[in-house]
Amino acid sequence: MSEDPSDQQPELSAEEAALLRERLRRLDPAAGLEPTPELTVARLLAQAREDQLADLPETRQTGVHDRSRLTWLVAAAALVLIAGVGAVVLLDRDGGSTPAAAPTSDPSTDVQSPVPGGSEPEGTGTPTGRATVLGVPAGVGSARCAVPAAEVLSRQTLAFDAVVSEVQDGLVTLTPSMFFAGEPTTQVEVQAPPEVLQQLLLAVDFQEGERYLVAATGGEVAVCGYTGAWTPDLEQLYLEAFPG
Amino acid sequence: MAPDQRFDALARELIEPLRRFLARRADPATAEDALAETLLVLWRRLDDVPEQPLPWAYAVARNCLANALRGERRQARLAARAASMEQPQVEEGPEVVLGVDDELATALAALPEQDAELLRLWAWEQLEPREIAEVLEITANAVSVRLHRARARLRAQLERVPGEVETPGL
Repeated sequence: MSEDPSDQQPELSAEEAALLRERLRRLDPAAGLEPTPELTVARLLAQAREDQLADLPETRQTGVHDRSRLTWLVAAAALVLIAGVGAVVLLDRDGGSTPAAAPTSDPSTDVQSPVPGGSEPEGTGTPTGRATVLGVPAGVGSARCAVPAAEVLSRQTLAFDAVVSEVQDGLVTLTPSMFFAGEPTTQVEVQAPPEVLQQLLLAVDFQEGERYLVAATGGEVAVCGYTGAWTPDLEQLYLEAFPG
Repeated sequence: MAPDQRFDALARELIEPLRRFLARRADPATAEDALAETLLVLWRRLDDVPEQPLPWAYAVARNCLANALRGERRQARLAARAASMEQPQVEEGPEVVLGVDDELATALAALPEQDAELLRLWAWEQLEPREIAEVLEITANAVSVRLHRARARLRAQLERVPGEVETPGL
């Protein structure tokens, strides 16, 4: 250090320092960075919250997980979109789907019709007749998670009991029969690039005509055991989380 | 204000500068990972966030980035070991803007990392010494002294004939 000639140099004047600062600024590698898209911001916020929920001390007692939060990052669509247009498209497409889930015999008109109940429980509110569109967190298939806890589940903004009406590339369509949380709609779509959706299917195994309990927050389906095929145990967890 | 709302407001304010901070110091994938980690820490430690959150947030981001880079180096070493003879490779961080002022870029690259980081915080993040002190968790006085010295070293590098720059690690 003592041989460094710069140590003997006089300090820069304020003016020289200002010029140097400006000259350095022009080298800034982030100068051309585009502003963060709103979708990315929403995804990042949702991600931080979801990871925080997954890491609550209360959940650790039920089984520590060490999944990398980083695997969740490159997410697909993130915002919950209440999309009337989506509902029309969806209903048009629904004509030939499984009887258990077909929302109506007249797909062109009855957007507002309630979901056929069958043996399913009654909904908590009147469905709006619109479709809720959800995304899927990427890296879902590689996540290792804590045992689901009601407290974590209770913080999800959307939770419902539904039958899968259709599974196709990039899209799972669900017909909810009851909403534990969130605004009731007659349809919920889970949309994601096929490869991402495939990972979700590995985790949840959505099958047409089968009944599921689905939770979501920040516009993304909650995995890690919170979304799954209907079982008495999972329903019990939902009832604990959403006692209302 | 509810914690959720507070976090949202704060994170929205910080995401852009944090993203730039990380983009200046890491490859895009590592920067993105470190940003997510930083926001998670922000959410967890919401009550600790000071009134002027940015230097504090930069300090968190810096630690998250260091962790991410350590992880990458570890993985690279393991991968290299698995591939026996290969040298470990970690993706390099971003280069400064080339073609704008190559002389200065070369001089900056030749500085010890500690000096270069001080200058980056000063010129790229546009922080004042007391803010840099928060980021680096040292005293403002120490920052002032080191910053003077870093600027003098940079000028000394610039005065050298091109090709004679010293290598870092004095």
